[in-house]
Amino acid sequence: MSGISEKLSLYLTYPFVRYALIVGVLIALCSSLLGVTLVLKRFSFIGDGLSHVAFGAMAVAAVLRLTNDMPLVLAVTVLSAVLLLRAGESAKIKGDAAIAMISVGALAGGYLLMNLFPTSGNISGDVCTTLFGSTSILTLTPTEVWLCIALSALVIAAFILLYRQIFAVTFDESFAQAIGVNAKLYNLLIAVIIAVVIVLAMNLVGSLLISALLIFPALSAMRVFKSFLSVTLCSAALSVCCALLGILVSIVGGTPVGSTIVVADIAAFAAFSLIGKAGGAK
Amino acid sequence: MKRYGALFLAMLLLALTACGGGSGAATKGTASGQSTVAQLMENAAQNTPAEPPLPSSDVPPLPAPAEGGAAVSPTEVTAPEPPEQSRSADGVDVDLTQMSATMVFAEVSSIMYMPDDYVGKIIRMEGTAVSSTDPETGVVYHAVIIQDATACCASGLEYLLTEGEYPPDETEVTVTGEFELYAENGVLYGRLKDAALGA
Repeated sequence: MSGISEKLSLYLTYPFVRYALIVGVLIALCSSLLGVTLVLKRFSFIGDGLSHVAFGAMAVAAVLRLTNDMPLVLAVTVLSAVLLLRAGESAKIKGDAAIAMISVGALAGGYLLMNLFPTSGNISGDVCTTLFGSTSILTLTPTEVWLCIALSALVIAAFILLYRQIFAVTFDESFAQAIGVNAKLYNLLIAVIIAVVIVLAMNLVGSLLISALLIFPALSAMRVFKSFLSVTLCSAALSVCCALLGILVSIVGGTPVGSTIVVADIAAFAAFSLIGKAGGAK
Repeated sequence: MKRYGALFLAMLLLALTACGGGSGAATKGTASGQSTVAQLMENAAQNTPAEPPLPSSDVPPLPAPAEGGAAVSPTEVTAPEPPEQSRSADGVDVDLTQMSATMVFAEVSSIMYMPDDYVGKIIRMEGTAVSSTDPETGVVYHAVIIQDATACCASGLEYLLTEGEYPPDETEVTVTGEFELYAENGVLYGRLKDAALGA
């Protein structure tokens, strides 16, 4: 045990480990805040769809040899998020069908582009890194860390400032509109924030595992708590703890970071399910 | 409350505009490392000119490439004073053999993207030996390839033995040497000089 703590102390002296912990905690916090809204609005699968869109956009950026792909990926993901959330209102292809269509379309298109216009000799490595995160979170530069901090601060500030509106839009859009809340505007904001969170989270767990960060903490909290506020707070705390635990276990045990965090989230979900059944939801 | 929404959108746009200086971690982070390593491995297989690992964008001025693209002899870059090091009892500053797979990959990536921080440090690493020959110059490059925890990505580092024979390709080796930067054909690379095999 002392060997592990010694190793951990040593690893914490590395700047990239500290960066990973800071960014990991912030991403986990942001994703859990939005996760509650997504689950309650029955948009759980949207994170998965948007992450695939981000993968496709990243492939396009790689083919175009953009040194900084973030603006393009973020713009495309935000646009897709807006389109997907608005699709349910008026489009002929609705809800889950639209998400599935955009999701697999972007995934297939991105992979095809990466194969047709390879930018490195290791296509499978590039794809694997983007899909599963690999060790991306441990290879962040200080600039990227500051960018993540700034975007995370924006997401958290937006959630706190717009808490009442998000609450109203989450539970009953018609009622929210009746009391003067511009539901369309806030739906748009939620879509933009989700897209930002997804682009940020690609560094942490990769595009295939982002949904886990959005959904598991919220679902776990719902096993034990029932009010929106208590579920949100519990979800945030749980997500941060799982992300911290996952990162620390992965650097000490040498396991992949993204999947270790997701397994921690799954374990927490199982534990909270048992607690919920044993104690009854509050 | 509409003004909060407008304020948030304005701040977000501002943040997006400011993204220009950074770079996406998912493609930047390991992908470049993979490409150099993969290139080395591909070159080894195809017997084409090898590009040793460790290019750097944040490096001292380099000598101009020779006219007509002719190869120039490797030039050692004058390194700044080695940074303060917490050297272990056996004289190793960065012992990759004592780290977990995840940490090793992250540390090698760190060496690739911030090579100046490691110049003069004694590094020990463990991995698969690979080599590649430049058919034009006949120079043989030797490197150690290190897989990451997901086993889909790899990083590598070139090394120069002081004495003895280089190990055959695909064998597991432990190499200890001093990290240095050198320029070749106008490109800056990193490698372990005065290297020795074995723990």
